Amino acid sequence: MFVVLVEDDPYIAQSILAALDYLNVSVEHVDTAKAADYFIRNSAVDLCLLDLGLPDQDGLDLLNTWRKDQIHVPVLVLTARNQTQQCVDALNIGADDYLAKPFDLKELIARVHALARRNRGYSSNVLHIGELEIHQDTQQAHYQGQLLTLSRREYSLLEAFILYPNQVLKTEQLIDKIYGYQDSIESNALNVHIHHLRQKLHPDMIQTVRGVGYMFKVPEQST
Amino acid sequence: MKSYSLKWRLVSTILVVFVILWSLVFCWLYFELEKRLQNTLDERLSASAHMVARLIQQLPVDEIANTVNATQQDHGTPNLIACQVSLFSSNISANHQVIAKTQGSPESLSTRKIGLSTWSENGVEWRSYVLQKGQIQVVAAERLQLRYSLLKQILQSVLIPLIITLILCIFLILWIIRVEFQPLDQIAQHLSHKKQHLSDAATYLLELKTQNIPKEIQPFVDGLLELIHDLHQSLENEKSFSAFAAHELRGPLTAIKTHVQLSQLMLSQTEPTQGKIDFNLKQAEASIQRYEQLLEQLLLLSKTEIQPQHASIESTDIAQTLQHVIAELEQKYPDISKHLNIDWESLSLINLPHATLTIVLKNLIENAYLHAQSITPIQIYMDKGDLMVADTGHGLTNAELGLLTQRFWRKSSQNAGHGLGLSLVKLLLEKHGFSMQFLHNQPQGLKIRIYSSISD
Repeated sequence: MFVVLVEDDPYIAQSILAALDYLNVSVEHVDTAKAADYFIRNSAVDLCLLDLGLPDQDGLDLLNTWRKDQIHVPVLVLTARNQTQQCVDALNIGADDYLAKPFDLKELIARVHALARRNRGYSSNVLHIGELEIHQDTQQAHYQGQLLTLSRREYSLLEAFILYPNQVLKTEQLIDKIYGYQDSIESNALNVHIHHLRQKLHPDMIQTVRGVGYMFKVPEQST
Repeated sequence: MKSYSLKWRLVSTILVVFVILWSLVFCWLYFELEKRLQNTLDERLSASAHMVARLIQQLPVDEIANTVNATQQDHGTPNLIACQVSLFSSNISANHQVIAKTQGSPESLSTRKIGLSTWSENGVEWRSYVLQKGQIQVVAAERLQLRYSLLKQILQSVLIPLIITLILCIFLILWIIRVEFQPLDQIAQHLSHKKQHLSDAATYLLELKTQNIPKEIQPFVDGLLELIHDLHQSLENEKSFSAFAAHELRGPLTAIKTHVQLSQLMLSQTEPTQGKIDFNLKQAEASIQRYEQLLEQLLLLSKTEIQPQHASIESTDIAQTLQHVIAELEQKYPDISKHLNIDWESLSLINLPHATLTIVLKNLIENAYLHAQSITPIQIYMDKGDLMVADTGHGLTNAELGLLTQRFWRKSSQNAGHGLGLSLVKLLLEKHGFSMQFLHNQPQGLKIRIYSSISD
């Protein structure tokens, strides 16, 4: 999952980044509305954590612009403003959820997962595709009833595939989803993770689309 | 002590005054009327006696004495007035021979003394006048009851219209008071409404001002409006301050909570990463320090706000205080002195307490050091008695200059601080009769001028 954190307070941003990173969520941090707007328009973002008090523009105005421009990235508003009206305004403008600071870390994580999977049409935090299932809360995956031993990158990659089944995902998109923009990665790192996943799953489940990227093929009986 | 309504006090006072005044008038009227009535009726009695005497004298008295036998007694109904004529000449055999008398006259009329007298016969009070002229004695008398009855009738004819007028006056006064007190009643009723909101009360009073309200109520309404306005302003300020303070406090609290919860989460794992936990706890500590600093600033701000405003009689050496401030700041920012260009020669004394000057200088220097990103050192000097702190940083727009002392205002929350330092400096300076002016530094940056507002 690839999340954009739009937060101008460096202390809060640091804490959320550390938490999301620890929980295998790829996250990119921006601290201005301008940077957030650029990011949302040019990246395959699964979720945006949006602070309302930004230095160059109000978060609600930014969200309003996105929704008017048909950008439907799920947005979880994080704010220290505690008035009910602001919460109502945010939800009416197009926010998917609202969390007041200071929030509980577990609640934040749960809402992040819930919004991401709801966006892909799932209602439970246990995602099933054929004989494969992953538990977002415990970050574990089972295939044919067996627990898979996955590294955090492999888990992120598998989660990205499950959230976008039968869709071609570009190599850059996959790299963003598992590394974010901040890590410097080896050129063949993605190939290595794909190779490991193929060994642990059915080899035909992850198909290479030459020159573009990869596609997670859902077996016929599971659709 | 029980508090009565103004209307009740006014009505009761007017009633008491009216009753006392009218009672006195009544007593005066009664005694004066009675006295004048008695005199008038006495004069009438005397005149009647004289008239009868003159008539009798024109008659042949001796013949009358022989021919008229006035001793015939008539026991008819007693009259209210009586008259008796008698002769007491030596030629007449009988002394006091009554020659004529009115029917029902009292028996003892002839024995009355000369002149006016009041006497009683058979329980009936009489007033009589006895006149002796030559051989004739004329007695004119009337019952006192007649006089009392007359006095009563006169009093009735005078007092009944007066009493009716008095009652009407009282009702008119009550009605007038009620009508004229209506604006006050309405104000009291409106303002004493339990769920009255301040803004509603203010709106109502403003509407009232445009209406034709009595002059006496005008200062009351004005005063009340001013009070409501001040109270409203004060409440709004408090509300805004609390909201901003809560907003600012939530920032570090969120960071602390997230770092601590993340550390707990890491510790609950089978193989906790010590390095990451240490990092989280250090971050949490940094946020705690930020939280502490914010709380201290808030407390100092509220403490300063309640202090009375007074010109300082204490003078402080700026150079000496500045040295202490720099030494203190160096503990936090070791290279800060390299970023300062101080014209020590120009620095003299300033009429500010040492503690105040320390806070002022510390905030201004720290602010310039952290936010200005000055390309040359920050200049501190005195110019014509004014203390100047100037940087050559990015500077601020005119709109931003106006916001600098607004509480919790920051150009961006990425900047360190909480937007309270300059508000605090402004408040401290104002409490001691000083002001702070923000100017554009040439060619760029911000210049802060501190000057005495009393001497200006």
